[in-house]
Amino acid sequence: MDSLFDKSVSSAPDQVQHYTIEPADSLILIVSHLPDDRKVLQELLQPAGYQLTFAYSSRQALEQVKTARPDLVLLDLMMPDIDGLEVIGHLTPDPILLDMPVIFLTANGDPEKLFEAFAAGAVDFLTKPFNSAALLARVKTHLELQQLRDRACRLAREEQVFSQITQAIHRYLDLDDTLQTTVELLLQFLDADRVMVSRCLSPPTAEVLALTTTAAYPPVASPALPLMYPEEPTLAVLHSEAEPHCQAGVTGSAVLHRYGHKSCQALENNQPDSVAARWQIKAELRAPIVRDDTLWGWLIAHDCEDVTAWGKAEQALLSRIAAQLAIAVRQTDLYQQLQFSQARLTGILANADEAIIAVNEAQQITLFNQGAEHIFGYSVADIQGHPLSQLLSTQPTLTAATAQPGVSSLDTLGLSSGDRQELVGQRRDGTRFPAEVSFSQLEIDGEKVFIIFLKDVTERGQTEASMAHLANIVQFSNDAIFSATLDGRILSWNRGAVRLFGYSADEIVGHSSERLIPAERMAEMAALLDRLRQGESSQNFETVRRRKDGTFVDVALTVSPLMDLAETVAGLSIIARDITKQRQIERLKQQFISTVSHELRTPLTSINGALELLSTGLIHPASDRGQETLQIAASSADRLTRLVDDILDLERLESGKVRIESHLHDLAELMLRAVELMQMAAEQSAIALFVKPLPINLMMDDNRILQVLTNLLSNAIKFSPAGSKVTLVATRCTAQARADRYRQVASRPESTAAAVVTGSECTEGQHDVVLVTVSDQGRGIPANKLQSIFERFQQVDASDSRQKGGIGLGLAICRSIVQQHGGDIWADSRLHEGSQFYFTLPVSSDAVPANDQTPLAD
Amino acid sequence: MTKRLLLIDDDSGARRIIQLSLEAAAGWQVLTAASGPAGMAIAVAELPDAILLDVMMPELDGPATYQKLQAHPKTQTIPVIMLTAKAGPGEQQSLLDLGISGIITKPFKVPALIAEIRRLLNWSIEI
Repeated sequence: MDSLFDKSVSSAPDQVQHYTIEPADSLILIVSHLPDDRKVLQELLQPAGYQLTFAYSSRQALEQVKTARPDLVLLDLMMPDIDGLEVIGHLTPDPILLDMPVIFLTANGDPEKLFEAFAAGAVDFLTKPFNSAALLARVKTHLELQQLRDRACRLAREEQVFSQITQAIHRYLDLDDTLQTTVELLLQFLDADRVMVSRCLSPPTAEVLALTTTAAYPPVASPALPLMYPEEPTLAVLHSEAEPHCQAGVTGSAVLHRYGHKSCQALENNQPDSVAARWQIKAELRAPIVRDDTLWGWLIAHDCEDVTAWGKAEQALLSRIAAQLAIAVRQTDLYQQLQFSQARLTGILANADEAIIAVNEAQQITLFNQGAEHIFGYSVADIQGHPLSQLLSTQPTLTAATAQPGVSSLDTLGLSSGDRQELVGQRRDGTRFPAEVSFSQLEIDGEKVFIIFLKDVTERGQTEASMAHLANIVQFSNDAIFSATLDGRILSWNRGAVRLFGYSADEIVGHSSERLIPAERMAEMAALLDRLRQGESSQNFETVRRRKDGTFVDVALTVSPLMDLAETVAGLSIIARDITKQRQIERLKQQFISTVSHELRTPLTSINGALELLSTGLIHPASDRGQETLQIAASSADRLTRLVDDILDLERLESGKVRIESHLHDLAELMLRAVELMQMAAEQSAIALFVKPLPINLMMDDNRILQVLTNLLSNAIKFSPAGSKVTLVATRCTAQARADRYRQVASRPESTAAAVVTGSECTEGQHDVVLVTVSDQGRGIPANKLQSIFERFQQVDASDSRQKGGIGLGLAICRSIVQQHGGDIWADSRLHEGSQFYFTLPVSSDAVPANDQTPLAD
Repeated sequence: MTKRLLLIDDDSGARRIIQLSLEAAAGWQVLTAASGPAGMAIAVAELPDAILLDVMMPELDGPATYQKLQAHPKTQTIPVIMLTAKAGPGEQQSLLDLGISGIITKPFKVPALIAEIRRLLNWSIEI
């Protein structure tokens, strides 16, 4: 052979369907000690094309049978050395020779002999002289019969191997087991020295997956030998060379290579490491294993001794088995894919955060994943087979609202397929939790299965609750809190905003916020928006806003940007606080500072000027002008002193730095002392002072009450015309009587009669009080001033302070003292008729009446 | 000719001291009034060279009196200087915005007062 491969024998598998024999392929052994007979038979058979071999004795015949392996034996019954019948007896123990057809040659037709011959195992007989036609017909018939028998035998054995391999494929899911069984069966059946299955890796290498050998040819050291030869037919070639009658599904057929001595020599010279040389291959059968039109690997059998070992039948068998192995490979792949996807599904099921629960039609739990275990606290073993209702209790409203009878058997739980619903879950420890539930329905082998997906939404509930809490804080805040888009459209509006601006939410949400902004403040808002857009955070400022009724309100605004998910400014939140009161307080404070400043600087001006006139000699101190100047300086200094004293006194009283030191004192005594102190001033103004003292011991700070009395008397004297009278009276009355008196005063129709109660309101006290009244016949106080005269620097007429020596703090001090004693102070007046100043002092339970005193007349 | 000033101030002490100071130190003749309306009447009758007007007065205060003086054809050209004890710069500015000639803050030294009046009214020192 010139090439490595003897292409002549590599062809399609043997699929011959006719049973005529090929005489040239048939070897006939002629056994006869008679040369004539041998010659006659040779002359008859040779022309027919049969191969002939001869034996002259029975012994020689037995040798020939074993070595030449004839297809048919023509045996002379009458042999000189061993009887023909005896030869047959020698053949029968050998299983190979047992089936060899033997035709007897006999000279007579002795029926007894014939019977013996047939009994010994002969298939037929020929009688001498030989009839040519009969001889040829019988030889042909028996050869054909033999061939059929051989074929049937081989086919049976083949089928047996094939079915064993198929069984292995069915039995084993593991490919390695299938392959190993296959190679072992084939080694035996093919009488091979080595059978293996290799898998193609990246060309030209392959991996041996299964290998078996006879003891004489143990496995070669390196198993990963290159099993792809340079001339390896590609799959395309396999396809194109495939015979049309190839079995369906077999896309590549087996090939048979035979390696002669010569080519082995060449192979060793050129490719010392060649496979054939190293593996000592004489004949190789290889069948491709093709999966999905791709060469997956090879099924290979080696004979290391006999070049002529196999033929078309083996080729055909190998092809069939390779096709089965392709199925096994495919099956294994599918199985692995299935296992993989199963593992993946199982992993998903197990690791899901959600509870995934399957129930059957009886609503018994059949599947319970780790998520479910985690959420409910049951293990799979605990809950399997239990009813679903153990985990879920329905919310009646949901059931009524969403149950669709007939949709599924789960509607008893208020569930319908596909919807996400909020139900109440129940854990193993009995605690309940809000759950979001949906389910889907499957039908597996005619059985309904419901898969329930359940999520614990407790946290979401908490988030919602805290959102609601926040919303409440906003809604009920005293401040106006609202939000708007960047172009000013109002989005939300809380109750504080309703109170502050007068618009209800319905009236303003969706409308422009411009209606809240006075025209002159529009620019301010635009500038603010620009700053916020440029990324500045909250802006605080004070401004003016317009109410629904058109009035303006001073507000402190905090404007903050509202960010969207992309962190860009999408809107504004605005907190507005009414600062009208603060503004009023600030104005009052400013006014107070101005007044104090004025009141201090005015006498200082006089003092400074006077001293300068005298010190520079512009005016001589001893002159009349000098005396006048000194007098002005002195009175200014007096006034300054009083002012400073009063300011400090009031500040100490109001800040609580001076404590009222209350002891039991007789009110009458204090009244008399006050009158006594004011007597001289009254006389100077030609005012008559009357007093009606009330002898009662009260808990009070005597010096402070004396201060109140002299202040009120001093005021009365100052504002009374000469010749009029001022009266100081005290009476004890019930709280009720006092309140009645207050109401009586307050209800008088004249506008000037408005009485004012300051400090603690005119409470219906449980205790009696002493009411002290200072009345004058002066010019009176306008109604609109009755309230404010008790404030600092709130004289009826600012010039009073200059003319009458008051500084505007006396009544404020009185009020503070009376309030600290737990009393009230107020005034009542009629213009040009006179004024009454009232104050009360509470009568303590241990108050003791003092000695009665008679009114002291002027 | 001797300058004649009208001083309108409700505080009698300050009124008298300023009058004495200006008469003695500057030699000006000083007319006085204790209230806005009284000052208005004197101003119309006497047509002084300048008016010193206290800001804080009852009834008609300094600014209101100034408005009346401005409204009267006889007195509208008379320069007015306001006397104030209020120190706030904001308040001073709002007074200046009325159109007055100047402001003198209480308390003050006599020479400084005279110099300030001269400066504000552009009066040279008389011999």
